[in-house]
Amino acid sequence: MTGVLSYIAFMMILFVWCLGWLGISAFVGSLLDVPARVSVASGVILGPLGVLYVLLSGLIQKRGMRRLGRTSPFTASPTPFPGDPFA
Amino acid sequence: MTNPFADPFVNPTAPTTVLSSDSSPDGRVRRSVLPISLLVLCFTGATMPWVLFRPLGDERRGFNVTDVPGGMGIVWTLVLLAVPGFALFMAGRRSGLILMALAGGMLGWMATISGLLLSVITSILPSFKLAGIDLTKTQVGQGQGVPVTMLASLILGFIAIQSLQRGESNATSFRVPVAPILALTPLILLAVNHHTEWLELGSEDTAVAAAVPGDSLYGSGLLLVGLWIAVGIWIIALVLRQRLVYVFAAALSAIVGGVSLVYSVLVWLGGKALVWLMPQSVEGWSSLRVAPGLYVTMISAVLLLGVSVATFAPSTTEKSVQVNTAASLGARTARTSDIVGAVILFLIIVYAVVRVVT
Repeated sequence: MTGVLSYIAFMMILFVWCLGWLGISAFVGSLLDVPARVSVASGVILGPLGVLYVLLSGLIQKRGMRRLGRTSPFTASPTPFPGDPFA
Repeated sequence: MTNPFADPFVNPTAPTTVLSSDSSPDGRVRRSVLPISLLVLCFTGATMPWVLFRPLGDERRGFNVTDVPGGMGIVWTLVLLAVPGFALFMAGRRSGLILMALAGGMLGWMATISGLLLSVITSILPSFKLAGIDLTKTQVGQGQGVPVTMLASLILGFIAIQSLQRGESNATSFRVPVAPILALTPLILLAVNHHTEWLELGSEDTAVAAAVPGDSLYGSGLLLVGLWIAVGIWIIALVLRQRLVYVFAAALSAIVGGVSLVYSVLVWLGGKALVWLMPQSVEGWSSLRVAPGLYVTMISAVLLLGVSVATFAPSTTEKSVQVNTAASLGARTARTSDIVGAVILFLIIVYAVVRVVT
């Protein structure tokens, strides 16, 4: 009986751990426009380091975009129509 | 006439750093020995001691996840997760690699959680102090299974995440940055030696010995957390290769290296002072020896500090070595990752044989 309870406790801890980091990672990834699949997998597999990975890769991507003077393809353009094309 | 609906901000010739959500749409990966050997290493690490019990004598006992009630069930559950993953990976499916990484990752995080729980338990035990050293904390510590499982699961995890972002490459060689490799070596030495004896106290009358490891010192839990985060960030630096990550990793490593150096120097000085001041007997303890683990920690901390400071210079981060993706073994050619994987598998077999024999 102790074994069964201990098994359930450990599996629950692992489940809550993975689910918690998945949520945090997905949230950080959505803020920084990191593809959902990458941020979810990073959070589940790598835990807190996955969140850090998503954060750093997202920041680097944003910085790269800013340097190139364009927005991420995952977000809407702030200027959807650049002006009169027939001018 | 130009296309009026084209994105005016796009420069088609400029390189981008956009993360690809699906670089290989068919979800296929190349079969390799390395992820399999890392998964086997995770499970091998789970059979190594996770918790070391060092009573005031010289008989040490190691406990791992299989010694916990229900522990075998946990290991078999993760094996059941890993086996379909292995089958899918052998069929060339990326989902198989993710499942394997998930099984390895769960073992790695379980090792971490066990270490955290251990710190909590030792902190509530009544302290038994001798010459300023809490001997209660010296009796329980982490075993070598924790760093082995954690490191293997981290590398496997990053391989899986990378497979989501990068497609197959047909390049004949790739460049590996030098700084992360130089920093990871002393960091791993620090992590392993943190749980070995730094001082050995002995009593000739009763033939009782007490070992004082690095993890029994005040604040060592925080240092260990910082150390593993630094390991993780250096692995991220290997993958992302951006200056921002290098600087972040170097800053954290410099703190870890500095604190480790201060710890080891203070323990070394304290040990020497204790022997010099009271050579005959310290509350019944008549001998005190500085263990090799303390010297290894001291040297590793100095190396880590040096590498961390050097990493702040941009010229250091740009240094890299070229590694061929394939190597010729006589008449045959094998991929470098397969060779590394085969070496890890060979070492695991050697370890298993030595364990069975002894």
